[in-house]
Amino acid sequence: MRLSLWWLAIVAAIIYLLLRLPATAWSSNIAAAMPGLGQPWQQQLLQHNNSSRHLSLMLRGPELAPLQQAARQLQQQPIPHLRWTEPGQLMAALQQMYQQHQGLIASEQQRQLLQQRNYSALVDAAWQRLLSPAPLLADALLQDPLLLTQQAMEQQTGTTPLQLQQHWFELKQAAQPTLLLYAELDIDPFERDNAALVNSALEQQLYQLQQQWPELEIVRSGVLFHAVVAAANASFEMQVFGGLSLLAILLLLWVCFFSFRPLLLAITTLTVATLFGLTAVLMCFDQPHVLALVFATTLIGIAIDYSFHGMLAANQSADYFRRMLPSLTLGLLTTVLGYAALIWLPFAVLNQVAVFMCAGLVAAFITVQLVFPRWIAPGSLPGNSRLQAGCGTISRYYQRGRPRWIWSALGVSVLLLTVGLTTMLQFGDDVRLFNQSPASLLQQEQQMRQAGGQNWDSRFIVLLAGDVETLLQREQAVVPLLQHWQQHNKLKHWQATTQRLPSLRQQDALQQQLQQAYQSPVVQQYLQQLQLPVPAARAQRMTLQQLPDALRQQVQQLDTQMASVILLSGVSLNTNDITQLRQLTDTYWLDPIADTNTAITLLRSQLLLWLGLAFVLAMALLSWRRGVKAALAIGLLLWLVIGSALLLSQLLQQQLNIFNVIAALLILALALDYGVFFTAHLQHSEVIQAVMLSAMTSCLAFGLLSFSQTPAIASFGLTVFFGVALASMLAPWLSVVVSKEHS
Amino acid sequence: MKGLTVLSAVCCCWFSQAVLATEQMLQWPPLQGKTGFTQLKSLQGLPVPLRSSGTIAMQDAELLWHTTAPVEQKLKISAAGVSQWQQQDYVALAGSEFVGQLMLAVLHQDISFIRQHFVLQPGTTNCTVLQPQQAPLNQLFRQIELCGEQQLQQLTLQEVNGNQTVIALHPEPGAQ
Repeated sequence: MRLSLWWLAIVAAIIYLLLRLPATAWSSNIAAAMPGLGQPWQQQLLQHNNSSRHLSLMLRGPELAPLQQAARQLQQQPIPHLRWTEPGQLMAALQQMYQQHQGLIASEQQRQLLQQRNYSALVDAAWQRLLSPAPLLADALLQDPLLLTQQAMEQQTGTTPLQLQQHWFELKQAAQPTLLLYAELDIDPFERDNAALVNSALEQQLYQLQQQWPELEIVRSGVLFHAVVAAANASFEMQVFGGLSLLAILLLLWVCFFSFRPLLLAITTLTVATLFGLTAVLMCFDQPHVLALVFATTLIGIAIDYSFHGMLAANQSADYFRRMLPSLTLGLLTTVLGYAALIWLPFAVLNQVAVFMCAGLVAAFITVQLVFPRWIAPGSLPGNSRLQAGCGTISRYYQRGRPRWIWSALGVSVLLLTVGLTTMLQFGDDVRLFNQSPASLLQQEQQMRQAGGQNWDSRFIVLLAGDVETLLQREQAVVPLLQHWQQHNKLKHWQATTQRLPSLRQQDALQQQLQQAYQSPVVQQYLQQLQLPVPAARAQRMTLQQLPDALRQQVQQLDTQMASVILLSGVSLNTNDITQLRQLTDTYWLDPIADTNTAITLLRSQLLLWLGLAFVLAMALLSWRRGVKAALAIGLLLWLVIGSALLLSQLLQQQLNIFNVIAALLILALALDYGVFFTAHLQHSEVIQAVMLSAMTSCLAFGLLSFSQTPAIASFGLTVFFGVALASMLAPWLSVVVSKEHS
Repeated sequence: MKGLTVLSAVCCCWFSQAVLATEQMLQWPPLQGKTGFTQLKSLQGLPVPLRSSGTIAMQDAELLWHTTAPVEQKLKISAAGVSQWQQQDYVALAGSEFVGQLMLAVLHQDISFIRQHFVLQPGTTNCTVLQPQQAPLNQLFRQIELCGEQQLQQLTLQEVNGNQTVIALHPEPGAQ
């Protein structure tokens, strides 16, 4: 009956997966997978931030004409979800907007001159502009005879090597003509499938261009390219590591039993575990992370342990299987508790891994418990006599150990290790080190920066207010500080909405100042020379809605308030500067990378605390089930194994990170299982055989992860590998300590 | 196959003729060295046109526009735009890139640029009319008229907004 229900549940899970999997959007954004920032408005703002949707291409070659032809060809072929930016069109829209609002916008310098009543400087500048052959805005002289808006508009872009063209920018790099093309995506580049689709269409076109013009050099920049590589890497590693682990396990089973039945049982256990793990993740999370799947491949390494214990026990006798079950249950309980703790951490990837592992391990346990006694009759598996003999020899070797020596060695090792840990342990929490893009892509990003394309810093200033007018007034309050930083080379460029859209208060003030200026003798004389009438004050005002779309993006509507972003580049501010900025009303300094790093540091501390709590909980459980001495012995072993794994990892990585700590949690769960089995009253050589097989598979699964291209995964795999290898080598002495002392 | 050969020959011939026609309509040699100019700017709302004069000094990829009357002013015109001398350096006016490129192409008689952006039509005697075909030039200028016998003598820039600039070029006495 119970078995039938179990098969029913499996069928239901398969149906659910078949329906849900095709519609699932997998995320590959490692930053989004990291702990969230404190304030809800900050998270909302970062979600709206679409800088990750921008990409740029640089085309370089010996001749300009073929480059232009290639660029035209590229832009004429539509790519789904990608829109090429037209810098010329944006400039035209901006000019049209200024034309309609002449006399309402002036530069900072012009406003100062008006305030100081230095009208002759303004008149001189107007003459200069009038005599230039460059065209003027329509009705410029009638609406704004001093041409303030015209000149303010023309001063807005600083000196740049980029030449604006209608569809792109042109420049010369190392005497070679170069074109810069910008595009925008209407999808999140971290949506795996859509991003891959856009990237593949774009790459195909770039390949065609390259074939057509072999001398063409193409440089890419943008989150899309990095996200696609990261997703492809994760997917590749998941398949390779998962596949290799599975292959090695099947090979190991064949060597142990020379029979297909264990293979079938192992595959059944792993498939059912994966099925339920995946079902649970898809039921709990809307957008699972591919990184979670990579970590979850380790399920194979743990779930197979249950298969080994189940197979060997069922092959012994029904009674032995029943006697083995409490140890398996205790092992499951401690592992699930260890993983379940991760569900409460503010770390999406770990939450997903925890759900996957808990559901997968419970499913593996139920499969072993219900299926194995029915499929394996006692003595039906022939087994490898050499392997059994080998395990017997190993068992006898361990049994020769004297409890006092083992206790002393454990004590001294733990003491030395504790000293080593307290003096040597070093952590690095920089999120940028967790994911490494290919060197070629990083080099291309560098080339793009050198070309002078606008590269805003990841840090920016945010202002909050209830309405647009207050927001613009707050921006104006920040401007003097920004200019001060620029003068002191602490800031290269900045971009704020108020540069293009003055607040209504400022527009009113400008109109008043202009009316005063028109009455002054200097301006009167200028107007008379040109035979122009004094213009009337303008009643119309300029609003946010009149700005072109592309220039409105820095102002965002949040849930309860409005936010304005000031973009920065070439930032070298110190703590005092930031403090000074924060003193302004509702003005915030946002550094998402530093904030994420702080959150990771906090999370790491929480994880270490969890590790300590899990350790104490496990000790309490073991003291109750196995007695104080066994619990103490297992506790010392765990400390030795986890500490050594961390120290060895540090020696290889230079410094540890949060993923090494996550690995430590997993080692605790795995080594605890070994401790539970070696302190149970089971046949020592049988336990050695099961633990040896499971350790080999775990070492393989986790050891393979240490070769991952993603440093986060590699760190995790390396530490678990060291931990499992050490635990499997040291755990057999536990039975010696417990049983000999007991007897 | 034979048909294709004929077709390609016709196309080739037509293309060569078009290039030839363009070159014939732009018969003036590129401006070199220093030249005097008089600019007459008719602006909407301005009852009398603005008159200014000075010299143009041609260089490889830029020209120096030196106004001497009614006020002293120095401008640099390059593909990056029209740049004003401000304090210590020339600063390009944002949005003037296309005007800069246009002025350079016209004075340098850059036929490939002109062919790419304009349709050429014969104007009054010794004049050629350039009509911009694509944005952004067609958003700025209605047409540009180039006149001259042996040398380019006058440029008339008619803007879409009704403004008009007439630039008369004349040899600078003593200039090389």
